Amino acid sequence: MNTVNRSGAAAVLILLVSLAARPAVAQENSPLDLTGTWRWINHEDERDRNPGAFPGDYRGLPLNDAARMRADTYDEEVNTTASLLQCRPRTPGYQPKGLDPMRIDKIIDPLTRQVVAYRISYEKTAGERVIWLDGRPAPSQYALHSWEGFSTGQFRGDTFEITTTHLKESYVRRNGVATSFRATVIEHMSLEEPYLEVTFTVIDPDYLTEPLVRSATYMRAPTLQLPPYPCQPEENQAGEKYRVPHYLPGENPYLTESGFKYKTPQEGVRGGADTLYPEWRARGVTLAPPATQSTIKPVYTDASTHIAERADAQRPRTPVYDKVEALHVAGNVYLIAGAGGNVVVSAGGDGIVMVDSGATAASDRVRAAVRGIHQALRPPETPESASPFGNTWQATHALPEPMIRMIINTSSNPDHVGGNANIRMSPLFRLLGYRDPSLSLQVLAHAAVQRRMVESKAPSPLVPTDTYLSDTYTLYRFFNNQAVQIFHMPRAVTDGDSVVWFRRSDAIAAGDVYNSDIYPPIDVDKGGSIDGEIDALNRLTDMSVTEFMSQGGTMIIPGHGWISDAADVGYYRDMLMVIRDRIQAMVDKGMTLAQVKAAKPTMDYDPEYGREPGETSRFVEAVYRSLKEKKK
Amino acid sequence: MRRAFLALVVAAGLLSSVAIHAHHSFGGTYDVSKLITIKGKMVQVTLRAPHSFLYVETEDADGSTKQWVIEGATAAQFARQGIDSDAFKIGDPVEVVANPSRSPNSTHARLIKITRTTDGKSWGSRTGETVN
Repeated sequence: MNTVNRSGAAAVLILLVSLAARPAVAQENSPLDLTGTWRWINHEDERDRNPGAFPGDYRGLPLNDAARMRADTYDEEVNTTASLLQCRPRTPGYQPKGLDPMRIDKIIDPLTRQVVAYRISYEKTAGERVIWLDGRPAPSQYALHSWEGFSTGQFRGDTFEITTTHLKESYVRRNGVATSFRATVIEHMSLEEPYLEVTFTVIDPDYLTEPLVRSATYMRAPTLQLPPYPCQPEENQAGEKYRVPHYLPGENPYLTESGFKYKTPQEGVRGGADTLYPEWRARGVTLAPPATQSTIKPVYTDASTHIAERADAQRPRTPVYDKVEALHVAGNVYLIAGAGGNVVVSAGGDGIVMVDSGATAASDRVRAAVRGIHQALRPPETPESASPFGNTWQATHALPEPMIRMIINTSSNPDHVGGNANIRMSPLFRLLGYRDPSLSLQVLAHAAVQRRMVESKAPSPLVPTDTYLSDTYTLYRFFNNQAVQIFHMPRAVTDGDSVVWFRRSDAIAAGDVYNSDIYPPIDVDKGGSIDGEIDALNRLTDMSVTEFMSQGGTMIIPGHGWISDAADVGYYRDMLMVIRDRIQAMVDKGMTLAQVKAAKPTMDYDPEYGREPGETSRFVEAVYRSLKEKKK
Repeated sequence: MRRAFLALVVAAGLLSSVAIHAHHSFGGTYDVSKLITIKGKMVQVTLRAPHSFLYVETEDADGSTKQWVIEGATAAQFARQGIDSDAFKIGDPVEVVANPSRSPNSTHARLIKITRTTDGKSWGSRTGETVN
């Protein structure tokens, strides 16, 4: 063997040895090892931490005028009066500015041994954020929003990118600068041992004109243990949970405090995208800071102040019902969404109880959704019925079609009762009880709903057949092993509103008393009022129990929008209280309806709730009229 | 001397964490540039997370009573400062130095220092006021 050949053989031998030393199955390494415990480093934004943001200080925030007005009228004391907010965790749009240490773990598929997700726990958050890496799609637009949101992640080179949606409304600074439930947060994590740099960007179509980009630094802390955080809300004084401290527009005395104390021009303190760029500095140095701390009357003019006007100027959209979908809510309760008003069903061994029937034109799709729910049902692990119908599971499910036993209407609104006739005439409608339909509950509502529909000459097949008169109506038997209770909410949206509580599933169908992203359709001519609406929302939150840290627990299905919990309803109630007080002050000053509308008392909430054509103007008028009539 | 200075630094660090750990903005909720004194009797103590509350009832000249809600640190931080469930008995006369709420007509306030006037024992969040 010559030298060349010997060298070649040696090379082959080395290669074989090195290959033998490698594992039989190739390993994939993550670019970063994010796992472990991390301590937050408190080295920047000291004033933001201690003593905390002052009212009116919006420096560095690309907020719009709607956000400005909302923050200008905000009173931070609401965090101590509102028990639903005391344990509110931070969302990812603010969390890295908090001081919480965090722990990051991997979730590994036991079969493939691949990392399918990261799990992040912070000291003061309700549970654990899960950052999915498995490419799963985002949940439905009708799914519950949470403080953690829904997150997916991917590695981009040496950076881990997290995208989060389905967030609850929150804040980007602890002085009332809000983030919308439509916000998206994008985080980028990069590692330079022992430091983990987190850059987090809030994209908010409702309250920010540009992405808000901020960063925070964590330091690896291998021995750190996250302490327990048994957050317990406290009602400080009797009845205080119904108090929402806030300032009327133009009456907050603290808006110049920050500029005065820190010798900063008020234009910079008021924030906005322009003030974030170096070009503004040349202007900023020419401006004098406030000479005294005084009350100012801000003027709001940017595009965000015209959202409702633009929406109201549009023609009402022709409803389209081609995206009806069914979602599991809790226990044996499901939501059928996209059919006009939300339809809620309890499905199980006793058949189906349906709350509202959607719009007339959506009935085929509602029936298809009911079939889909029925087909997906599986026998429960424990018997689902304690009634004489206790063994009905097999009997009911031996049939190829579901049995709709009754409809309960929450109001007379057309997109909630429009399907009554089609459902009742459907072969799926198989009454519970007597063979004679006239003896069985068919379509149940408060008596005022029936009376109003008869008075308005609604087609008789749409009109409820059965009514109740008292404050509370309890279905005469357990249905799918749970009590079904109906509560009358007098003078809320109308005088006939009901909410339906499925007690074992702990889910409440709220009808139009609560809508997650539109103002309530209060109809004064049908007996509705803003005070009654707020009372109804107070009752809803009192009926509900959150699981932990102001989320989860009792599920509340709105008349329109996504599955919610008590915190969402609490936000909605607070919004209505603020608007009620503003319009009340205008009524007390003797302002006309036209003047009130021109003053735009809902302007700061319109980006979230005022995007439906005609709805904001109608809502303001309803609030004005109900307050005027109360005054008489 | 050096030991005393070190102790002061450590105490300042520990006590400053009281404000840093605030769940909501104390600066936004209370006027931290002002101090008020509240004299009354303790009617309830709730040691909780995120913040604890001390409830103090005061009596006005006309005999009417008012209940103040004094917000302080989380239970764990209070415990480190010596305020636990045995620190006060219901009815103890107390004198509270506090930042007033910014909210008009509010009876909420933020604890700076509290003194049990029967024996003069006090607790506070400023340097040197930890435990009397």
